This record gives sequence, structure tokens and C-alpha cells, in this order.
Amino acid sequence: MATFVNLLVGGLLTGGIYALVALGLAIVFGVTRILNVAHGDFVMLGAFGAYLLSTTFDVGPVYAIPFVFVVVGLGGVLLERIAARPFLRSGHRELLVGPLLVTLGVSLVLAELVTLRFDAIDRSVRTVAGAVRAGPVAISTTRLAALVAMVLLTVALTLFITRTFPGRALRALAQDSEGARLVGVDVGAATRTAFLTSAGVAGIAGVFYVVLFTANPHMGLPLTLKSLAVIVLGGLGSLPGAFAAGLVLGVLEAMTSYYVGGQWTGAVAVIALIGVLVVRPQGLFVRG
Amino acid sequence: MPGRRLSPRALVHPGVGAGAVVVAVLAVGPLLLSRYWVGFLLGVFVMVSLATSYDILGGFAGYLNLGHATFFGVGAYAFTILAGRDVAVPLALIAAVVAPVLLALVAGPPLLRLRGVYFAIAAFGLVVLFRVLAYNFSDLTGGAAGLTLITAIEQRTVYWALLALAAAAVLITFALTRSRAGLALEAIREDEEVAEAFGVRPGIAKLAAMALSAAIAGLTGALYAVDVFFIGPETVFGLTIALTPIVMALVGGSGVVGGPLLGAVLLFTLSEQARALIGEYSLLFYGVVLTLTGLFMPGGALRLLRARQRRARRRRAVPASPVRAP
Repeated sequence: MATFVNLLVGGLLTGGIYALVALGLAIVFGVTRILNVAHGDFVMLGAFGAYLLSTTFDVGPVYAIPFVFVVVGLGGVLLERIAARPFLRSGHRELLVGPLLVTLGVSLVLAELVTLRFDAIDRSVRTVAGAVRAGPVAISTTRLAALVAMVLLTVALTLFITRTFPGRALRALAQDSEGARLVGVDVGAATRTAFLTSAGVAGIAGVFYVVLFTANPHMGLPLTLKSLAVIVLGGLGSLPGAFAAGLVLGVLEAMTSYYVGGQWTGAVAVIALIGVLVVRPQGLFVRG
Repeated sequence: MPGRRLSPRALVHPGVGAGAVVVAVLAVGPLLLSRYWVGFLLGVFVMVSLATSYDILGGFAGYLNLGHATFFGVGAYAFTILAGRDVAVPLALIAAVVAPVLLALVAGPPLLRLRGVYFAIAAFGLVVLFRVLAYNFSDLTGGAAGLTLITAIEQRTVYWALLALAAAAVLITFALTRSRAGLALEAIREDEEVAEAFGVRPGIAKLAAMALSAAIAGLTGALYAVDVFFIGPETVFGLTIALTPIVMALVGGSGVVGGPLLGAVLLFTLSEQARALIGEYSLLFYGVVLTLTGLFMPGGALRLLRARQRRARRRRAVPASPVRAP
């Protein structure tokens, strides 16, 4: 029982990170039709940002969060400048290839640059924490705090998208870009907002990642792949679906690593992705 | 002439003649060149056939198959496993073609339901999956340690086989541009619904393109394994081998005959010569090349070159005071 609950909590934590990362990827894709391959590398940057702050300046992960959000978010705005803006007016073929090449290139460059500075070694930020006990189950306070923080961040993100004007502009563009333009949505500003939000949130997810697990410079591309799997699992274009699918994938991976074997965790996302494409191409959480 | 059924006459073209001369000259290579240069050219041939075979689906049909290396790796493993168990080399080579084609026929239909970037990344998942499989089925694949392959095949035989394969791959893409099948693929690339309305069956066309590109990539993988004696999860399913041929195709000009060839020759030469200088920075180098290509020539070098030629010709044709066309 205790093992199962710990697995579940671990899975939900990983899944929460997947969900946050996938939401950012889905927002940018919805607004611009661009897949940002470097999205996972923003998580990596956030993780190493928190690592650097904690080891060099003795700044704890909680205080690292706002800093990482701003810095990585600005990185997202920079990426928008080179990977999105030059292509937004081009035909569908160039809109596919151009940004894919640029973001893939940026992803490799970021991973290699961080490797040069930190080496390709797993890094983590350790926190001193007690544990909360409920009967036979003990959960570390770090994990609980991260879980609460993730829930808060998701709520904030949902409120931003549904209740504020810039957030609604993003959804309007994703649903019908022509219509959104007609009612006066500023496409350039909305694109920048999308990149800023998605990169910033990915950076914060990286802080959680480096606290809960270990981070290495090459974690970005696999994370992007998993986020894509999550988006397809949840149903293309459905943000709540992506969120639920992120949690499901995290739990599935945790269960697989314990009951099947740790060496198989890397295959779970891909098998789930291909399985869903065969059985339920519209996604797990979409009716129809 | 697109639209025609493929006949031998469709292959009559000055470019084919020039290509045949180049192949004939290269065929003398092993008799004259040092071991280093033979090895270098072998590397070029591997990349040319990989980039060109990628382009059948990725360039002509416009389905960016980031998982193309899966077929290469499956071919390499199929051949190495069988040859290591004393299966005759021709049989093992056949297996290196059949196994990836079967994989394409099984994995193709669900993957090809996706389009654009979703297809690209889901296909990339296939490489990730097979890397995990190669690590875990260690009885068959040797796990992380990989497999060593010892055959009695001479390097020059591999050289000629790979030269023929690379030339055949380029010739196939050329034949595609002059046949109905190629036209169908290009129609799918431009607009799948419209293509279907004009009688193209996209499902079958895409799957056939994937199977053809898988067959060439699988055979390339087998010959590559003979050349380097050793394969492992990272060498045939790793990030570098997955991305390099695609980058080459895109840099040279994806969807243009000879584009992947140009990109492969350019980038392979550049990276081989640069390795002495930059060593471990080669992925960084690829990253920068990718970014710059995406920004300044998303259509590839060959398209840029052709567009420039066309513009120059037009400038020459038009007199100093331009007369507006009606």
C-alpha cells in the first residue's frame, strides 16, 4: 500500500511536470501552428538556472521560481523573434520546415552550450525536508510542496487563459485566426505572449524537475517528445485533455518502472502515443 | 514530363548521363585511392543514400520523417544478427530489406494519420522506441555493448555496393519526378485533400513511399554495419544518426532531385574536415547550421541556387527599360 501510494505520488509529480510542459507547447502550437522543438530545452534551462542559483548564490528553489520565469520567458520571446516571426507570413510548407529547423537547431545549441558549462552529468538541487505521515504512508514535504505549487501554477495558468484579455486572445487565435484578426486581436503581441508564457512555465517546471529528480543538459528533446505524446493522448487542441493526459503518462511511467522495470520507462510515452493513434486517434479525453 | 507512366525513355536526360560518368569515375576509386579516402567516400555514400531515401517520403510527399533512422538501424541489426549466426550473406541482406519494409507497413498506417509536425515528432518516437528495444533485448542485440560483425567481405566490395546503392537512390528520386507516382506524392505534399479529389489515394501512396525509403535505408544499414564492424543502440538509433541525414537533405534542398546528394556531400565533407578542428563541438555545429538554414534558406541550397539562376536569366532576357508584360 505504502509503495503504491508513493508510486502514485511520484507519478503525479512527474505527470504534473509533463502537463505543465505540454500545456506550454500546446499554447504556442495553437496560436502559431509552430511546434517548438526547443520547448523541452526551456525546462532544462530552468533546471540548470535553479541549480546555478542554488550552488553559486545559495538561492533556494522557491526564490529561484520568479527569477527563472522571467529569464526563461525572455528566452522564449527571443526564440519567437528568430523561429516564429520570420515565417508567420509564409506558405504552409515553409511554416512547417523553417521553424522546425530553427527550433531544432536552437535545441541542439542550448544542450551543447549547457554541456560545455556543466558537463553531461545529472545534477540536482537537494532540499532539507521532513516527511508528512498518514498511517503507513510517508511523503516528503518537498514533494507535497511541489505538488501544491504545481496545482497553484495550473490554476493560475487556467485563469490567465480563460479570464484575462491576453489569454482570451490566445484562445481566439487558436480557434479561428481569421476571426480573431477581424475583431482586433494583435497577432504579434499574442504570439509574443504565447512564447513568453509557455517558456516561463516550462522554466518553472524545470525548477520542480531539478528539485524532485535529476537534470542533465540533454533532457530537452525527450521532454519535447513526451509533451507531444501528451498532447496527442489528450486530444489535439484540448488543453484540459493535455493536462489529464500528462498526469496519466506520469503515473503510467512510475508504475512501469516499478512493476515492469526501470529500463522500459523511456518507451512508455511512445507506446502510448502509437497505441492511441491506432485505437483512438481523436484522443483519450475527447468525446466523439 | 510529369504525368507520364514511367518508361525507360523518361530517364533520358543530360543529368543522368553526367551522373553515370561520375559513378564510373568513382568506381575506380578503391583501385587508386588510399584507405583513408576510400573510407571517406564510403561515409559519403552512406549519407547520400540515407538522405536521398529519407527524401522520398520527407521531401517529395512532405512528411518529415524524423524517424527515418529506425529503418537504417533495423536493417543494420537484422543483417548483423543473422550474419553473426552464420546465415548466408545474400539471405541476411534480403532480411535487411524485408525487416524495415515490414516495420514501415506496420507502423506506417497509424503514424501517417498524423500530419505536419505531429507526424514528424511521432515518427521520431519510433527511433526512441527502437533504441529502448535495442538496449533491452540484449540476448538478441547485445544490449548497450552492441554487436561486433566479422565478415569475409572486402572493403572494396562494400564500396562498390554502397556506390551502386547511393546512385540507385538518386536515380529513383529522379525517376519519381518523371512518373505518376512522383506526381501523386508531390500533389499530397501541396494539398492532400485536393490530391484525393483528383484520384490520388494518399494512404497507399504515402505507405508505398515509406516502404520504398525503408528498403533503401535498411540496405544502407546492413552495408554500413559491414563497413564499420560494430553496431550499438547509439550508433544506429542515436540522435546524431537520426538527425544528420535529414539535416543534409534539408540543407541541400529537400524535394529536389540531387538536393539531398548536394547536402550530404557538402556537410559530410565539412564535418569530416572540421572534426580535426572542432572535435566534440560537432553537435553544436549542426545546431548552428540548422538554425541558419531555417532562417536563410528553408527551401535548401539547390532551390536557392535555381531561383537565383532564374532571376539572372530573366534579367538578361529583359532589356534595360523593362516593357511591362500585359
